Amino acid sequence: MRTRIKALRARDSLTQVDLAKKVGVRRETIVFLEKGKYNPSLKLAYDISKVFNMQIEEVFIME
Amino acid sequence: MKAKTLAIIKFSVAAVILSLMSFWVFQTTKPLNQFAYIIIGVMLLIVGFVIYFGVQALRDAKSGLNPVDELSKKLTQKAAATAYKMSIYMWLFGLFALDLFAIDSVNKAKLVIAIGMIGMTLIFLFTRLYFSRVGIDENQD
Repeated sequence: MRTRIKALRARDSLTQVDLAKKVGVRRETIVFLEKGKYNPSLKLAYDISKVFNMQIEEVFIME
Repeated sequence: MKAKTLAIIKFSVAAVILSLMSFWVFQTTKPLNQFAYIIIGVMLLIVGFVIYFGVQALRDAKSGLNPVDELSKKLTQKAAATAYKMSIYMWLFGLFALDLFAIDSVNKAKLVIAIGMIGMTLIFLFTRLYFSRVGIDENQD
């Protein structure tokens, strides 16, 4: 799975810590998500998509 | 659980381990042998790990981050599963390896339990640290 989190963070000028605080996770979780090394739960995927005002499938891309 | 509470629990565990170990070292009447020094070294390593994870929790608290999230829970579960899986072989190895030495059955049982428990703890802590560095690649089969 690939994510667009890094690009979307840059678009909204958010740091990894800012995003982690917004969705209630540790910074490491955001790091692993951006590297595509962790598949988030549906709730976390939904929360992250909501921060960027996008649909889940626009942020997380299944390959 | 709040980050500060979690850090306090971790530091308390480290303090309890250190005090029990000091009590054992200063109260024992027998001179410490090589095995005792190995146990002390391993226990200090475990205390070091506990303090490291406590400091991490405090750092998260300072940054206003959640110290326990879904990934950290998964990492802990995977580390625990790995420690359990490896411990099965370790117990078996301990049982057979100690047969090579002339040790009475009571001391042998104590040794097997001590090696098994400390080994499991060490494997858990090392794998937890390893997974928190490299992550768990769930896309791989």
